[in-house]
Amino acid sequence: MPWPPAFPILSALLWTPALGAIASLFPREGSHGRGRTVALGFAALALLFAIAAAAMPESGRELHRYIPGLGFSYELRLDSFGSIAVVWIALLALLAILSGETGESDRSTTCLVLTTETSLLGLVTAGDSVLFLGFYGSGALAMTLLVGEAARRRFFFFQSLGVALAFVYVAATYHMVWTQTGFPSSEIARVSSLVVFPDERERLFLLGASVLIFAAPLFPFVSSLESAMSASSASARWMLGAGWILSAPLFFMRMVWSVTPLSGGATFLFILAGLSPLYSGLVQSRRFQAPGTFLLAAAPAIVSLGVLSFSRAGVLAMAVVGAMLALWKAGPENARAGKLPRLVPAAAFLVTSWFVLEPLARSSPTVVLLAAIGSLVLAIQLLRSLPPLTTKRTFVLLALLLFWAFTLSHPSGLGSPAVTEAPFSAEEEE
Amino acid sequence: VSTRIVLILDAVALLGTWVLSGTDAFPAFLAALVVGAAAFAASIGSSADDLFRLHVAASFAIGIAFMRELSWAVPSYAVLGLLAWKGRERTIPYLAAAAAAVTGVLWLEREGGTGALLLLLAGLAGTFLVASREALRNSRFGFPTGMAFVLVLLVAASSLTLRIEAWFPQGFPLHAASTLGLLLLALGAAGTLTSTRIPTFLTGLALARGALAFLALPGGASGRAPALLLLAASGVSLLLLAAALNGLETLADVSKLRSVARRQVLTVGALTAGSFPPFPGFFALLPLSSAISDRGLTGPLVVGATLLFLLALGSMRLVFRAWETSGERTITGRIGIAAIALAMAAALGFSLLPSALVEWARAAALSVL
Repeated sequence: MPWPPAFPILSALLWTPALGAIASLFPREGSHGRGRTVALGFAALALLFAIAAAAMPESGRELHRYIPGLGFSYELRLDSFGSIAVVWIALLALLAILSGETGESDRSTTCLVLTTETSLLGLVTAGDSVLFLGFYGSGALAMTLLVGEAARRRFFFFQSLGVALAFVYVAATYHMVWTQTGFPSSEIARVSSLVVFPDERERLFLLGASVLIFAAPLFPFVSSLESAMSASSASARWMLGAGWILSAPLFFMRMVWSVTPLSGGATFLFILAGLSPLYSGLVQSRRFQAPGTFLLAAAPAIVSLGVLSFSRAGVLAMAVVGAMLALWKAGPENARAGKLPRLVPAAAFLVTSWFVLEPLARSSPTVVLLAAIGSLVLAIQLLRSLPPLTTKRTFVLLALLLFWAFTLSHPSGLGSPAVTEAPFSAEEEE
Repeated sequence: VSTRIVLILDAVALLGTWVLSGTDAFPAFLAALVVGAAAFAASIGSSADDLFRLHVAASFAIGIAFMRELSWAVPSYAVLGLLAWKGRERTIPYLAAAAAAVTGVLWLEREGGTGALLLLLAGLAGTFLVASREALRNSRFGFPTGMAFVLVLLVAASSLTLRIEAWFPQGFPLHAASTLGLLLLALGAAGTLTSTRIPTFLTGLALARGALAFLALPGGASGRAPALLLLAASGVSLLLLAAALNGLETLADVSKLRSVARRQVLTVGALTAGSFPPFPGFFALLPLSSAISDRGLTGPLVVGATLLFLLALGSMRLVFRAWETSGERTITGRIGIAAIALAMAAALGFSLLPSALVEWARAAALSVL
């Protein structure tokens, strides 16, 4: 064992927000701002760790045997996609705490925001499927308690259904690993080396796709996310909602793609994902109460299309748009602001949609057409319904866009296809 | 003073189970659960009469865990259930179920066969169903003591069913056992989803968690260790819920709880009861489902997963009510240090030291025979 031992930067990154969540609960009831300051400190520290982890190529893996008898391990990994995703998640959480107005940033909300951050970071870095499930469950619970009370039950129904289906998927792959190798293991890397018959592959794909459909959610369940966000007044919830959109696609990327790259059921999934933005754009005036909710409701579909089109940039794109929208929502309406700030979210949405849809244009033109029409309708709705943003927040929004553009050209290859270099592959293991 | 003496004796008994775990791991594991439940009820506060009944019941359950003769163990289980009665209602269904279990044993000893095993299992399930309902009924004991009774019954029923499966692997009715487990799980999940009164809700949860022991039976030897882990998680969750809900009548009362610690304990208990990740014991479902898949029982497994999902939805009803922001919080009772300590010990034990727990459960599963 080398001495001094390497600093476990991934664990530090993962558990810093969780520690912050606990620490933010300690200040007394009366000292309202102190808890928020503590939370801000921990969120900022997590962002520093995320940047350091993304910058250090040797921060790639941590492995400890957790329950050797059952083949469970505490394994954290950071691939090129993850190195950018962790920075985004840490940034979203910091902005979520920063943007909380007085009264919203109470102790429980701050604690839940930081818990969700740990869960999201865990989803990105987990190299073991049981660890992944643990973070998925904790994140779904924290998000359920964060969203508006009126829509809480409905939101939890869909999210927990996603968790339950993910659990069944993990149980199936765990059993297959056990029977094929002769010993139990829940390492995600082992899933990619499974020998799977075509009928089993089809079943596994449909099971994984169901997670995406229910938990993302896709058409016809998009209204569950929409109603949850409509019932939330706090921008912090919107911000984390934008981050949580990544959870189900991450499951699909990590666990499903590695077993079954493409399957007959993919067409069905493509069509549902293509229909979602169109549905969100067309019904917004009748169904969606809060302006802009239709965009957040359509975001999972675009992220899912990003996964299906092997575009890492696409996977992160809608989280970026969601963050911008949340930032816009947090700002007070400013009658003196010009029309330009109103154009920025619409333009950003169209640009990110382009990044997602362009790689799919040849293979699935019908789906791309459906999604493109939906995106256009959504952009028009944005221009019509969103009030202008203050100049200050427009600059923050532009900064976020620039950061996203920077991630496209990052040497880690974020702009390159997502799955040609399979995350957590068996080769990487060797 | 008497409670302190009881707690000291319970602590000595727990130490004894640890010493025994090296030689008789299966009964020691079950005895630790039973004594832990009794000690928890004693530390929450019960009348001397209730504590006496509970500890007599616990002694019976420990005795059943050590017995290797079904003809003694099953009648002892029937007598143990009767200690849960403080009224005169529902004795006829209980006696009928107990008679079915005893008849099953006698039939098994004379002729053997699947029919006898089935009658025995149905009798065990029936006695647990009626006796657990009686223990939690109308708060006669108070929820923590009532739930400790339920756990004592559950441990005794589980030890019997696991041994029956281990002793009669050839003629064991796998499909019938899993169907019985699914029926009980469905009944319990329906109870948690529809009930408005706390005793009915708790009985539903206890029934659903008890059903997991029946569902685990088709898993055979590989399913026994996860079943024991799930039993331990069930014990923790049911005791925490009973402590957090003590003194309440309806589910609507949960939204009036003021104490944050009490609501946190309630949340941990409810989510553990639903086996929701990452709460204690959820990981045991993976090896259990793998063991059942090995026997080719994929259909019951899928139905079981669906019912567990419904159970999670049912237990979340408590969590939603506990964290509602509207309405006035008028119930000021606190949770007590014992429940907080149990919640923390369970969370730490299952998350930081699960390996030791898994190894003990595996050793216990191996020593069933």
